[in-house]
Amino acid sequence: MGNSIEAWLPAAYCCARLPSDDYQIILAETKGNTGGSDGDIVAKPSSKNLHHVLDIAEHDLGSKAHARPALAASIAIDNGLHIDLPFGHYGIDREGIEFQHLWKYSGSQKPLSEFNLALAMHKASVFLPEPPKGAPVYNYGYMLQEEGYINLLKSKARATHITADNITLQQSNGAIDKVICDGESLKADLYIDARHYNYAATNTNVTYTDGNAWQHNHLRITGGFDMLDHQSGMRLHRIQMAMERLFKLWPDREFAAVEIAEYNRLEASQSLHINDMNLLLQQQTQGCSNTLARKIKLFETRGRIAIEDYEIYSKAEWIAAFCAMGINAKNYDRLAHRINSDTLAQWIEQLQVAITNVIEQLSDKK
Amino acid sequence: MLNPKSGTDTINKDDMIENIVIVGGGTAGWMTAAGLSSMLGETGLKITLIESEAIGIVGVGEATLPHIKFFNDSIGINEAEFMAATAATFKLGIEFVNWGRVGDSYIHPFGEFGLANDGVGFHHYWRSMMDDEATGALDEYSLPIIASGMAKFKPPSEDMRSVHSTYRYAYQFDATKYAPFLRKHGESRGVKRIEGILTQVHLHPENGDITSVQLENGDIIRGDLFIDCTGFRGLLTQGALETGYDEWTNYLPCDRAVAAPCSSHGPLLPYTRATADTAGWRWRIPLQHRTGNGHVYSSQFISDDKAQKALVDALDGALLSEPRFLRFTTGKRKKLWNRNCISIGLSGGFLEPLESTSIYLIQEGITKLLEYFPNKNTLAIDRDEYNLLMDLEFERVRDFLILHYHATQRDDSDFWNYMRTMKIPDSLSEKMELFKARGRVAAYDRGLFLQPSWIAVYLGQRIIPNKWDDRVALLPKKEIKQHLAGLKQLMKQSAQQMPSHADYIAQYCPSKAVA
Repeated sequence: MGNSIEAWLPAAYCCARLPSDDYQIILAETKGNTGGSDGDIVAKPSSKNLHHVLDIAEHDLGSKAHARPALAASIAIDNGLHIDLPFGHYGIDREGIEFQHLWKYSGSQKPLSEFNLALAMHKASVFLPEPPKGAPVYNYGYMLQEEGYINLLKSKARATHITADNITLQQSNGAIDKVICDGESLKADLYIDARHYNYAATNTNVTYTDGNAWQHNHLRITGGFDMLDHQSGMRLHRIQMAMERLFKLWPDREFAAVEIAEYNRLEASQSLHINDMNLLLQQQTQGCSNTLARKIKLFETRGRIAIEDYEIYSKAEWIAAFCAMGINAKNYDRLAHRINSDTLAQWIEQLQVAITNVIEQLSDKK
Repeated sequence: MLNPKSGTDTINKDDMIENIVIVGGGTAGWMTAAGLSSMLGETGLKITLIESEAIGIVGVGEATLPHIKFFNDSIGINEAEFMAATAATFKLGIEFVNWGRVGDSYIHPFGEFGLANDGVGFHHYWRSMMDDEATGALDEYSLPIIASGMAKFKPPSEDMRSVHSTYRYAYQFDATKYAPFLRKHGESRGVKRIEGILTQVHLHPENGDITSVQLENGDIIRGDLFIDCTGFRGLLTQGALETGYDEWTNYLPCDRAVAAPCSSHGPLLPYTRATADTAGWRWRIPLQHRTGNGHVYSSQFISDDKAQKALVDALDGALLSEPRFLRFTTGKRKKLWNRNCISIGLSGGFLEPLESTSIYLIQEGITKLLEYFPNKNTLAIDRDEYNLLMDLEFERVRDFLILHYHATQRDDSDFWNYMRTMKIPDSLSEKMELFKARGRVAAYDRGLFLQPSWIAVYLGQRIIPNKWDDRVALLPKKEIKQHLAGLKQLMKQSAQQMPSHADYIAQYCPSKAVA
């Protein structure tokens, strides 16, 4: 139930993973509420796994969803500023020491961002599918035109498709008995509710609570709640992760409570990470979660990134967000002293020159 | 605000930790000294290790987990030299005998079971066919288990397409020889060893940090950071800092061990054996020159004399030395890093040696110390993070160990009746319920024991899921059966082609102790 990517992606995913002889998938498409994006959506590099499952080739993304490669997600924040969360590493780690420590120790006058090839390419609007040998690594995602992408997903979803102005859920003992779509009854084993933008408008008697995305035989799928999720690529990523979790814990009609609890535990953990990043980007860190407070403290002290179980953002994304928010590492890892300071300074300079050269060469060919 | 420059600051010299004092040699002390000197020796860090030949070492941890190879490799240890020096053998897993029921046996392998299909774990396919006689035990789909049964060994392949890439290995070695081996390594990298007995620990009068330790001869050794490797006694962390200890004896009540080496007997096995007894369990660890044996037991349920007799009666070779007793309390320090003192090894905690985690926890302590190596002015922040991560590590290991005792049908002694019916941590009962329902393993990407380990112990101890993944039914039974038969055959043939463990050792790393 729902529309836009929130509904069509789960439909396409279920169709790809479940044989049509054994499973019937019905999509009850609601009207309006196209998802709230401005027409483009960000697909993180991890979407390549998703498209592999969906059997969507890159050239189809290009021709049907007008896909353009993306090396960072650009997020608008207050006062006309924007932040780029890169899809690639800052510099190159040496001897197990993360680059931000080496950069800090070297005393380089160049900003840390200049050592991120993905960011540099993103800013210069140039692209190479793979980083040149010896350069900082990255992986690319896409900017997709939403309407074209939805049509592509529709072509992959062999779902029975109905449209409905009004959907009402009827439940007993917490489970959904049936769904009434414009007065017509629909029964299913598992209900996926992707109407996240109009919960209030549905006027149903089903109440979702945080951390309980899956209850009994109904699962709530959301791409996110605000523009930050759209711009950071979390909209698509959230749906992808929800489907991967569902299939790892694929239920039968008895809907084991322990499996549902495990799904919700993982969902809650993912939501916490996303909320932490969003709060950071909105500079609302006063009284924030312990996990975010700890992350800030560790980074501020020595440029360390605390990584949780199933961390959803890369270290580079956290570094970009911290730096953009003016949270800078005061110090660096002592291990950096293992490398001779002169050698390090020279290497850092060479690295920056190499990155500049890549950008210049690509710019010339634009 | 955006993209700040790094500035030209370096760590203020006054803030740098310059002197580390490790109190206690043994495995924990010398692993710490070797690890720190390899990674930080070049940065001007001075490392002093105080130990006394008059004080024996516990020498726990003859059996290890695969992670130790990474530790040894990262500090530049040559594997063959290390194995020869410590009379080491290879280890592909741990055999558990009599745990689910008397007469049961399974191996927890260092590797995968079978191959997953379209995201559905192999054990679901196996479970769906387990009542078919031709399917056989899950063990028949694990190369390290089959190789273990044949006493074969070959290092794993790096070619991910090869079935030989589906396992890892650890070592079984003479722990009393590991510390001297590491000592050479550490001293060659600048570690200063002081022979002496600790008599006093001096604390800062205001902040309570350790400022120095005093030796029997009156020498005072000052340091910025102290590592307590004094074993169960915890002379710094408990004796001086009174850190306190979280006891887990209600979950893990074994509190004593008696150890006795015997002569080698039979083929050289590439695995450790843990045999459940009436009030604990017995270990058997085959080394090149002898077999290490021990009996871990709960003194609430059996006397020392009976425990010793049970051990000696079960030996499969001639007793080589008098049995030695150890006492311990399962649990961990309330703060593994307290003030400027870090407890590594037995001083930090002990979870009994059932899954060979002692050396792993030492290694984790060192690795995390390197990850969060402090300055004087950031010590509190690094310390909090270290403690948070190490606590998580200890708790996840604890849950896995409790599973072995609790998931039993044994009712032949008071000990097993207690273990079977005791209240277990919620964190474990949730995991067990999830597996019972449909063979799902709770997902964590951190912690020592991951999915294959949990599956091995659950199934090995008769926690058979009521159901399995519905998508198994998407493949016709005939096809699953053929797939299982083919896989079983492949595993068996692959194991047969491996050299014998004894031959491989004789070629690669023979110990002088054998000669």
